[in-house]
Amino acid sequence: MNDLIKQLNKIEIKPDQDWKQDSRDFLISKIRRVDGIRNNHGLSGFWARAVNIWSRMFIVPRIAWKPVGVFALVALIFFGGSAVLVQASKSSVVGEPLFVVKVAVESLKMAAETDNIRKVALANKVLDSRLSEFDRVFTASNDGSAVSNSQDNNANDEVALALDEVEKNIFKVSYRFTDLKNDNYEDDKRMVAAAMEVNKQMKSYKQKLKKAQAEAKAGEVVEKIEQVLARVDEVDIDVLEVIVDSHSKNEDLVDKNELNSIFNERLVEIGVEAEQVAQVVDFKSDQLSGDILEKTEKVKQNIKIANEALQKGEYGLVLSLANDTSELLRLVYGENFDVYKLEFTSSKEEQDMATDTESGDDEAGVESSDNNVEDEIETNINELGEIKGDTDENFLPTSGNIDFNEKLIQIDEVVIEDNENNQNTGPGTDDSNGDEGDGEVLSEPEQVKEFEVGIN
Amino acid sequence: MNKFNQKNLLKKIKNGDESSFGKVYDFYVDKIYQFVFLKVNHKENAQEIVQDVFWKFWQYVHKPEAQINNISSLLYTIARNLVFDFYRSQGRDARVTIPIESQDMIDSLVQDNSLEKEAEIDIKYDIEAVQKALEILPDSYQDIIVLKYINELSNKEIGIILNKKEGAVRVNCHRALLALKQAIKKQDLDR
Repeated sequence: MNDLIKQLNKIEIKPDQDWKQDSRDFLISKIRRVDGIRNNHGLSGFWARAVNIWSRMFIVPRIAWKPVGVFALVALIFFGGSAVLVQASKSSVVGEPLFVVKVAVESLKMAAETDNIRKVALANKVLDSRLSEFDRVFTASNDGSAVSNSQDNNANDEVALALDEVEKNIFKVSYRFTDLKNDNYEDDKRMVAAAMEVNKQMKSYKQKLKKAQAEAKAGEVVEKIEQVLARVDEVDIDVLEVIVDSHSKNEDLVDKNELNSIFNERLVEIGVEAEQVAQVVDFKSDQLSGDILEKTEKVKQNIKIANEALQKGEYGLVLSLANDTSELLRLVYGENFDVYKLEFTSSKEEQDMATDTESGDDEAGVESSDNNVEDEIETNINELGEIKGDTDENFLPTSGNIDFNEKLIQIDEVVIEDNENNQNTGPGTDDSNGDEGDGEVLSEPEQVKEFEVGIN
Repeated sequence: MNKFNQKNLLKKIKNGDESSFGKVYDFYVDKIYQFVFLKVNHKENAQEIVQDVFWKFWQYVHKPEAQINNISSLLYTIARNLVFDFYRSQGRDARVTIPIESQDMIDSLVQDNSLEKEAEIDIKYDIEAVQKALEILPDSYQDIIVLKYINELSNKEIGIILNKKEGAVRVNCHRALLALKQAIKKQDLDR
């Protein structure tokens, strides 16, 4: 491995000197030009902000957006900002030409808004819209209509793009909420109502994202959703701090039952994660450091104390314990833990799989109908495909004592093989006999037959 | 470039100081170019993207809500996003189908003049193999390998760029190296 790292260290690529200088000069002149525009338009307040947003969006478009931006600008000039165009852009999703119009309209609305509470509500509304768009793109990508791998990749790109937009707008909600906090807003009642609303929204976003994460097929989408969920959590913690703080100042501001329910759900959520961690710790206790075992124990204690504090209505303590516990869980995950978790999950799924396969054989032996057997086998095929890839050797149960590194290599081999197969074949093609894939989709009985060969 | 310098530079850039922007450009352009080139594998495209990275950086610094702790991480994050946009604009498969300008690349890859000619040929071959193997890795592994072992960033910086915890970066480094090793072996077998 050290040799490989040494080789990697030797890779050094440098740009042409001439290009470096030209590019530098070009950038400096561009800065002068745009700064000139910015400083000379002589506008202030709302119009200055509006023009600034507009110029950022269209004067210097990103590579990918260049044609879209130009098209949208021409279209806007042509229609003179007509309501038809704005209306048409409402149903657009990221990546479509009219999406840029939709975002521009949203940005202008935000620039026109002066009240910080309404800004938070508006940012939340935009986020809601981005999440609905993600939902549409994700549902379309997950409907199984892709017949080739490049189509799958494109669909994943679109999902990732939609998730980027969701994440970007979570940041915006967070900025707006921070502005609201820093503004020392005097109307506590409105501020708490805004915070409660954001909390409610974040809860619903979390549910939607978790559902999508459970359904997502591509690893990168799962990972990206995990990132977005972490952002949602950060905003939620900010919001909860405001709610608890306001409640400690004036108990009438927040309904106690509502507060109980919010924290109860949060503790349950942390409890579920803690339970998963505990299972992995039990599974790998001999290989884990004392520090991790200590942290896991501390997590259990924290949850217990937090539940007691919740009964007594000490919400500040509950929030602080919940945050500490989440942080502890994050720290546990930071030390090779996710690899152990992966190993634990694979081992568990392999066991379940072996049990399922056995029971499938038994049922076939006791004269269950042919259709039922085929259904069951097909379900097993899907499960196996999701867990381990599609090679025959992966159908064989592996020993729980398999070397850790060997296991990682096996998983990575599957990733690499998948990549190769993806370039040549579509889903449902038969590569197990070494033939080049031709994109032909096997009929169901053929799939079943292949699976039976795989087991035997 | 220490933290104090970074803060000062950022402040000056925010105030519109072109020469401070120039300093940032001079300090980071080679590194960012290397990162982008290894991802897109095409000189002109890499140049266009790198130029855009520095322009975006200037724009971002001037945003009122911008909170920048580390210039390097910000530049790499922008570069990564623009590369991603580039793939998207070209279609995902573009990266695979772009021909590798092998000779150009090998010439620029090998910088160690002190090596004997024969040894140099071996290294050229090895680096080319590594480069080709890198191409077939998933994006997340590619990023980690380029940032960690080629651009030699710390786990902390990589964590910020990839939006991952430091521990996760450490784990992924290990996995990415194993995957790269496997990819090189596979290439050798196929040859």
